[in-house]
Amino acid sequence: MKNDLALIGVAKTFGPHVAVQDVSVDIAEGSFFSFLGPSGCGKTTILRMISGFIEPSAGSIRLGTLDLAGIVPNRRPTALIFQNLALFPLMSVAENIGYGLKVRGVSAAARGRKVDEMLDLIALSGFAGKRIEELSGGQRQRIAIARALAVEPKVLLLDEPLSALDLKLRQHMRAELRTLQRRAGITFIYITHDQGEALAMSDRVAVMSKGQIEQIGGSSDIYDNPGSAFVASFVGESNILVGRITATDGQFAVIETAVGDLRGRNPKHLTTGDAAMLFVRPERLRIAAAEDDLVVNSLTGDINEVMFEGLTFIITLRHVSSRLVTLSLANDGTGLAFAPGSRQTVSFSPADGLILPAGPIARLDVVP
Amino acid sequence: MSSALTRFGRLGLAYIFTATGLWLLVLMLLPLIVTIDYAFRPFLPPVDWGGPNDRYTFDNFAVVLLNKFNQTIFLKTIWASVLVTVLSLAACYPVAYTLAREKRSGRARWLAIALIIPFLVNELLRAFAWQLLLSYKGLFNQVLMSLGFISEPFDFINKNVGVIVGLVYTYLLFMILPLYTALESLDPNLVDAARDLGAPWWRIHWDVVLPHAKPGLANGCIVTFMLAAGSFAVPQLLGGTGSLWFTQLIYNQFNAINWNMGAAYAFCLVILCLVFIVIVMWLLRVRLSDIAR
Repeated sequence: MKNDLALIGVAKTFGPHVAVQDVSVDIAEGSFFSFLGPSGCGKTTILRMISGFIEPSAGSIRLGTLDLAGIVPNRRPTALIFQNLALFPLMSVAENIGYGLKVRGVSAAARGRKVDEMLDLIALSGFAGKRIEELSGGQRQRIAIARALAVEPKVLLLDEPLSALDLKLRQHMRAELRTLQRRAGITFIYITHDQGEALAMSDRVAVMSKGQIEQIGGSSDIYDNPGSAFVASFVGESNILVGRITATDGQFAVIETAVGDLRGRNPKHLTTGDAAMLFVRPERLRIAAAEDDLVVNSLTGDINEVMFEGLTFIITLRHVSSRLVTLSLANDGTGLAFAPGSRQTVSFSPADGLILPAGPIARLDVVP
Repeated sequence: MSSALTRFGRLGLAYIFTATGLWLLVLMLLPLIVTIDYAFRPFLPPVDWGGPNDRYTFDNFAVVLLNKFNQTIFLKTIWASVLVTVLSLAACYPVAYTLAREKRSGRARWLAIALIIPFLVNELLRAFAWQLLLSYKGLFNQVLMSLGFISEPFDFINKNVGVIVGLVYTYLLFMILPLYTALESLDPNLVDAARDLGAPWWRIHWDVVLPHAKPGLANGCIVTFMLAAGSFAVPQLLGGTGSLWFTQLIYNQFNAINWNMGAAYAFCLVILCLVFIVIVMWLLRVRLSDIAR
């Protein structure tokens, strides 16, 4: 379509520091696209390059047939929602929403109509005269979106705008953003480190690590078929077991780990001897009936410690080989089975185990 | 009150009250009361002090305010001080803005040091330095003549350029610092947001930066205006022979030992400047609480 956004070999270096390297992606007009990655992965730099505040060191950014190089932010057909929203505190709601039109020389009457239309869109009719400080977090959020949409951009860029809200409001705003995007009918590009947000709202997600795109795909694709150890560990919860391939057969392979040989899918066609990692989602692990249940892929041990997290239990299992294994299991209502000291066997189907080449995994303690 | 007592202790609290009280009384109220008292009494030889003629009167004020010459000088002082304030604002705003936006970089630190260093030198000496620079055979004239802009020396001093330039320079920091403080607290995202919404740079300043900086701006302007209007050394050294500053009229009276008339002049200057400031604040919709912020 004519307003598809394309990043072609985009890179950005700040002195010796490479913030973004060789990012190429096509974003279809009218879609909800997310860049997902930990702090410092370069996603904000990408957003600022699209909005024009930073010029790429290499590569080009195109909107349809228009090359955006050299077009300053105030002339770009993009609008940016800032992380802290950056609403003008000394202006009223109506003045905020109408500001982009005012600087374009739109008459006060036409501006008023557009402001009303926008307030309707975000379901805040009657708020025109309010001051920004009188609004709640969620309302400010919507005003920021209205202010950006009022100038009728081709692409709306959102820089983690939900991060300042509390959990419940954040979940509510996800649905609302998605609805707003459908109604506005323009491309939304969303930047976040919160995989829940990215998966819930996006048509497509690009997972980023260290300035590069690791994988692009639909939400379920990213979740169910992660293409690298990083994506598998960053998106959603996973139990990770490190080892080496000892046998392959067709779609499957056997990986030798510290807690025994385990079988899983082998989409990357690893061969015997390759260093590998096995990923199993918590909801795919189940408690086997008894110790002698000699299914494939079973781990037997004594429960050492249990941490209840609501959706999941994190259990530390002292494996029969006396190694400690930390596993996360879905809370299916049989939580009493996890009494510390009791012997349990945990198993999973080979189809639910995913074997990927060993690689860097997303660490929880990544700091910007 | 009780929380202040637990926080500072009895001794600390006593110190705070004494210090504030002394400051108010000795440095503000007493001089003001003495000046007002002098201003409303006639100028008498010491033998008549406390005598029948030593009574409160408006005579001094009538002389000050009804004299055409005084009126002209006063208006000129106000007008020139406004000009000094406007020029100072024009010169300081870009500097303060750059300083505020670059506050994290080392460059800002050097700029701040460069701004402060000249002020380590006494005000009088700086005025003398300007006198040398702007004099008939001074550096400015020599440079301008050698570059061919003028064929004969320009009389900066008598054409009042000296006073204006000197005053702008002398009170530069009093404009920059409040402006900097106000601009420093501006969220840079607001500037980017306005830019992203399509505003050209001058609109960003007019719509976003200046309204935010208004308290600091008012603060800087008022202080600069007051200092300029009340300045004595700079007009004395850099002013032309034919043009007087209002403070020089005050000085002349005190110099002629007529303290009462001098006090009346001084009191008029204070009141008229205050009235002028209140009018300007009202016009710009600046509140007192904004400035104290």
